[in-house]
Amino acid sequence: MSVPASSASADGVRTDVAGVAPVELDRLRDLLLGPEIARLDGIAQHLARYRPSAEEMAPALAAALDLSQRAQPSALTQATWPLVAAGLQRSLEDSPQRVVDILFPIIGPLIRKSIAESLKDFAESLNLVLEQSFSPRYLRWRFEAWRSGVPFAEVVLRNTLLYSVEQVFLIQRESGLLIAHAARARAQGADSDAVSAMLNAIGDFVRDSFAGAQDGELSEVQVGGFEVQVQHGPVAMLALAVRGVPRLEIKHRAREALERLHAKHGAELRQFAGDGGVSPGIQPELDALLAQEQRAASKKTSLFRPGSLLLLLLAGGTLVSSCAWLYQRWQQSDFLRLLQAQPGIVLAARSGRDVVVLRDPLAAPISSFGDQHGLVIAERAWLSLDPPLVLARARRILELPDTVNASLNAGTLTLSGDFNAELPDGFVRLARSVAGVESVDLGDLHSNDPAQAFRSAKAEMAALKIQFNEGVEMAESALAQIDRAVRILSGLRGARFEAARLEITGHTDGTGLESSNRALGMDRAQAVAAALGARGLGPARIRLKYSLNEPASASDLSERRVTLRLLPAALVP
Amino acid sequence: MKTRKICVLGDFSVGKTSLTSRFVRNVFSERYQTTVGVKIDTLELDLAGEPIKLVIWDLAGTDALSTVSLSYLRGASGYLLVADATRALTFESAKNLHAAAQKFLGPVPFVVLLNKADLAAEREIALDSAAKLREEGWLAFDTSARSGENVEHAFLALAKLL
Repeated sequence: MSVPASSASADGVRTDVAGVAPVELDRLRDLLLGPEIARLDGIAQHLARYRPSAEEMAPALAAALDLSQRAQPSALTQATWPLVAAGLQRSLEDSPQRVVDILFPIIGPLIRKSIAESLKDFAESLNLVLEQSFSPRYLRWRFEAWRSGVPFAEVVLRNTLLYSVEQVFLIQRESGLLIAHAARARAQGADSDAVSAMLNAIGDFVRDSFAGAQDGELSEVQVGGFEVQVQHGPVAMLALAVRGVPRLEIKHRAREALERLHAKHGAELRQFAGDGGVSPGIQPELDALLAQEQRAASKKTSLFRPGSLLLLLLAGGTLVSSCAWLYQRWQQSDFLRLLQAQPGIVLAARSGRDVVVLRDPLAAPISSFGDQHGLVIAERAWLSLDPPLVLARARRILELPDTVNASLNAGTLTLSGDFNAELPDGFVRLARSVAGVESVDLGDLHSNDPAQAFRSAKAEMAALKIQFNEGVEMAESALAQIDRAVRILSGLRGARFEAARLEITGHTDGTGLESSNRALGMDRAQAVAAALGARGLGPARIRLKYSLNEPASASDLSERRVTLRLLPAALVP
Repeated sequence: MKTRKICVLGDFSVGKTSLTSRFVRNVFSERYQTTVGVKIDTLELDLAGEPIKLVIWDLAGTDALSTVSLSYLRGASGYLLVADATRALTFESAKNLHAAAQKFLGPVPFVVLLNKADLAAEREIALDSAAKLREEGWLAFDTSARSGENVEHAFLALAKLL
């Protein structure tokens, strides 16, 4: 049966358990629990005033941090980061040399690595330019630079940097497990987990086989048109599968992305165990690398954009026009070459379509042909000394009939055939005035005017000289002269002139007596007469004579000769 | 889906690549081609409603783990130890590899495969070896890549431990 701890009596006096008054109970409590209550109060006051000393906390601090790091690594990092940052800043301000000393073993390799990376990038750029310098695209880019006015180096840069980042792998270095993966929609390839594992294996193989354990990492793999660029971080690596020739800056972007991933998600990357699912911030970093490169890759299809098609049409039009222009130029050159081969035509000057030509009036007409070939021809008159034109000019000036043949040899105009009319006075002089004619030979020209023919024959006969050596011995040229005299005589027409006679005059040099010379002269005339007689000229038509009135010179051997003079029949006594 | 890296270890020509090919592609080739470095395959499994993707590193045969082989072993969640039942020495090699792997990886699960069980007449390792190993707490199977005997069981047994 339960008993209440206190109750009120009927007379109103308050009593407690077993009828004991409260005052007594308080006394009893003080007697039994007083010392403990006093100690508890003291402890409570002590705790309220307690401030742990450094000596008391030091042993526990390290263990506490260790426990916190294991339980909540990110929370501890977040909590201590301001302290670390402030401490570092303070240390830099107070004792920079100390920081320098600490960083000294690190800063050297860092600088060397940075310089090596820069030199490698520069070498790659240089290699790229050299490789492209002799390719077919080189000429196209030259033309593009010339057409657009853009510096050639910039054109090369713009064209060679077309690429497409097909896939991006974020791989845990320790295990080779794929942490995250991004790929373009059209990208095809092996299982991404297998690829990431294989990249990791290749990296291990290369590093362990060819490089030291600490330095060197696999940074590039090239297969055909693909290049895999690998950036290494402390716990993860980023691999980019790139189609084409990547921009150099892609490495920097990837490196920056990897640094951001380590900064924001370092713990997660380190602890990744393949359980799937990563922080939301990781995938966008990978996608951004794809998205940025897709714009560059789209330039590859620019060939079929409207602007390019228009450019293509313009280029085609230009090509057709150029071909037509070249064909016309070829035709013009061919025409001018043939033109210049014509007698009496000389190409004096040419400027574009305008051509200046020197043309003899007797040469072929050419102006109309110039129009056919797109040329404007200006003619300048001149006299050509081409033989065909000299002959044509002589025919026109001398009014030679078709029965007269004309030829030109070394400036001598030789006429032959029948003139069919009386040769005009001064015919020979007129012939000599023709440009290109220096002398005239009318030997075989027959005139229909007997008197004129006789005069011509007479003049020609007077020009003959039949030379002799010693005595009556004829020179070698003598017989030809005699034959010529016979032809002149046979060419005479008309009864009066056909009966013309020939006066043969013998000449001697000045040596010897006059009587002897007279006899010798007559003997020479007689010898010529005999030769003519042998050629059909009867003695009745011959008159012999010795030249008495012509002075003879002892030293002039040319006087050893016989001259002929044609005499009209009526004049012969 | 979780992903786990496992390695296949064993001496030369014990059938590591053939076992992997049988498990991943269900094929077997009589032609022997030595593995240079490592071959990697992947296979997705469904373990009683829990999907898992195995990334299988088929390491080149060796009787001791070199520096390169240790690099390949990093991050593995488990491994298969393969010995040739027709060559007793390969089991000794497997035990050496097991010791090195445990030292490098720590206590990760593993499975022992006594391969080429189909060549019964040439067998050098006792028929009850697998059973004895199991009695000692090891997961061990007599397997044949040629016939496919126990291949899937061995891989699945390891997968369940990951």
